[in-house]
Amino acid sequence: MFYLLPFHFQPVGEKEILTNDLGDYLIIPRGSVQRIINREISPSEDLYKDLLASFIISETPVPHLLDNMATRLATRKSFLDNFTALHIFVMTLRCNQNCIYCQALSRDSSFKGCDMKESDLMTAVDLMFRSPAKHLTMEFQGGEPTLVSDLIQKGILYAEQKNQSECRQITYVICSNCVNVSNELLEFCRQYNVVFSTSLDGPFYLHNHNRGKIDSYQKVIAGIDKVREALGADKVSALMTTSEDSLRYPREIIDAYRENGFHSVFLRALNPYGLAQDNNNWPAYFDAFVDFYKQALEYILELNKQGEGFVEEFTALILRKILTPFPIGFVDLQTPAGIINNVIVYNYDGYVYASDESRMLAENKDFTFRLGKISDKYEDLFYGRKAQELSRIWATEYIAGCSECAYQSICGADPVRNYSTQGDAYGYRPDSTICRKNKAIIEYIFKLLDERTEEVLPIFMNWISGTR
Amino acid sequence: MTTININDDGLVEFSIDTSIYDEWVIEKVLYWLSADYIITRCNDTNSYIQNVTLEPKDGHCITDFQQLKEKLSNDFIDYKNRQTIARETANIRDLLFAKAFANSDDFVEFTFKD
Repeated sequence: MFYLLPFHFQPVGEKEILTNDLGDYLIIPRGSVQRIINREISPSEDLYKDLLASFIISETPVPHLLDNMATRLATRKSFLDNFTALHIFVMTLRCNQNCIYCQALSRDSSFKGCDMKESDLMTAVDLMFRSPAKHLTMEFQGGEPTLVSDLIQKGILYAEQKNQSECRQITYVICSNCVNVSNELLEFCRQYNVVFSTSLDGPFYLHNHNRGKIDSYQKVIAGIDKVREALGADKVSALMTTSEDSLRYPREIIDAYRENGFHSVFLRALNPYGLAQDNNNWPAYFDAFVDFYKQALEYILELNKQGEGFVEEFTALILRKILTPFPIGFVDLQTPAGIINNVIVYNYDGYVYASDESRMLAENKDFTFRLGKISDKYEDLFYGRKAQELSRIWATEYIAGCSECAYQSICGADPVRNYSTQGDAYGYRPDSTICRKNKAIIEYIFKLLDERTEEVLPIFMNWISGTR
Repeated sequence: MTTININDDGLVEFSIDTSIYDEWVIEKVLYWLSADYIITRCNDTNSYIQNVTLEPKDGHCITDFQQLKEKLSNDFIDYKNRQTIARETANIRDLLFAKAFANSDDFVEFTFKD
C-alpha cells in the first residue's frame, strides 16, 4: 500500500510526464498514472522506487521527509524572500534608432519632454533601497538611455553613496543600442563596473531590415567593439528579437552571434507591445517561432557536440527549473509572477509601473498597471490595492488552465501579457499564444532529456552548472 | 460518456454520466474546447445524464472528427485522474505549503507513528 503525494501529469504521445511542486519529474509510459491511482504498482517494480524517490508516492500517510520536501519547495520559491531585485529606470523615451518593431514606442532623439526628472531619479533610487533584496540590479532603459548619460551617472553616484551604509550587491546595467556611447560614459562605466546589454538581431541584412536602416548593424557592431575594448569582452551581452523575417534565418542568426564573439543567444519571441503589436497573425507567428526555436536549438546542440561551447539562454532557464532545485531570476517564468515580486519600473513620466511591458502599455494611454507616482510611499506602491488585486491572479497554482498543468512550476504567470493580448489580466489559456509556445518548448526539452539523454544531458548540465 | 456524434447541422453531440464524471471534471475538459466551440450543456431530468453540444465557432472546422473523439475520451479519463490526485493529496499539499512558507524558526518536527 502506498499513498499519493501531490503531482501533476501531462500525456505526450506514448509517454506521461509527471511533475511536482518540488521540481521532481518522471517520464514514464502512458497509462502509468492510472496504474498509480489504482495502486497497481508493486514494490518490486523499478517504477515503484522511482515514484518513491521522486516524491510522487509515499509509504506513509505523512511522508517521513516532509520537512525536506517543504525546504525544497521553499527553495524553489525563495525568489520571493528577496522581493523586488530588478529595478528598471526608463531614463528617456528618446532614441537615435527608432526601429520598426520598437516595443517601447520611442521618440526622435530631439523630442522634448520625455526625459526623467532628476528629482524623480533620486526618489526612485530611495525606493529601490527599500527593497529587502541583498542583490539589486539597477537597469537603465529607454528609448536610448545613453542620450541622458549625465542622468545615468548621477543615479549611479547616488546609489553608490547610499550603498555605503546599505551594503548591498548592486549590478548596474545600461540597455543601449551602443550606437553612440561616449568615451566619458565608458570611463565612468569602467570605474563603477557597469555592464551593457544591447540588441543584435542576427546578420547585417536581417538586423538592418528589422530596424529599417541601412547601417544599423555596422554601427552596433562598432559600438559593441568599442564597449568591449573599454570595459572588457564579458561586459556586453546581446539580445535578439525574432521578427517575422528572422524566422527564416535560425542558423544565420546563431552564426552572426558567433562571428561577433558571443557564446550564447537568447531566442526571444516578439512581444505584442508597442509597434510590434500590429505586426502579424499571432497564433501563426508563435507556431512558426516554435519551429524556428527547434531548428536553432538543434544547430546549437550540433555546435556543442563539435566542441564549441554555445548556450541558448531560454533553454538554460527552463533547464535550471527542471534539473536544479533553485529558482531563476527571469521574470517571465515566475509563479507568483515576476511583476512587482521581481521587477519594478520607474518611468520617465514620474510613475511606477508593474513591469517593463506595463509602461509600454502606458504609451498607448493604457494605465492599468500603473502603481502610483514615484513620489508615493513605498508601501502604497508595492503593497497597495493594485498590487493586491494583481496577487489574486498572478500564480499558475490557482488560475484556470494552469492549476492542473504539469508545467506550472516551470512556466510562469503573466497578467500583463494576458491583458495586452486578451484584454483580461486573468487570461484565457485555451487560445493563449504564450501558453501554446511555452508548452511546446517545455515539452520539446523534456523530449530531448528523455529520448536523447546521453547526447544532450552533458551539454545541458554544462549550460546550467555555471562552469561555462 | 456515450457515443460522440456529428448531427446533420454539423454539431458535435454526446452525453455524460455525471455519476461517473462530476462538474469538476466536465468543466475542466470543456474549458479547453471553449476556444473552438460554443458549448451547450443540458441536464436530463430524473437522471444523471448531461447532454453536451459543441458548435464550431466561426473560422474553426472539424478537420479530424476521429481525433476530437479520441481527445474527449482521453481528456475525461485524465481529468478524472487529476481530480483523484487532487482530492487524495489536498491535505498533504496544504501542509507542505504551510511548512514551506512558515517561519523556519516555528518548525515543529513530527513524531511519526506508523
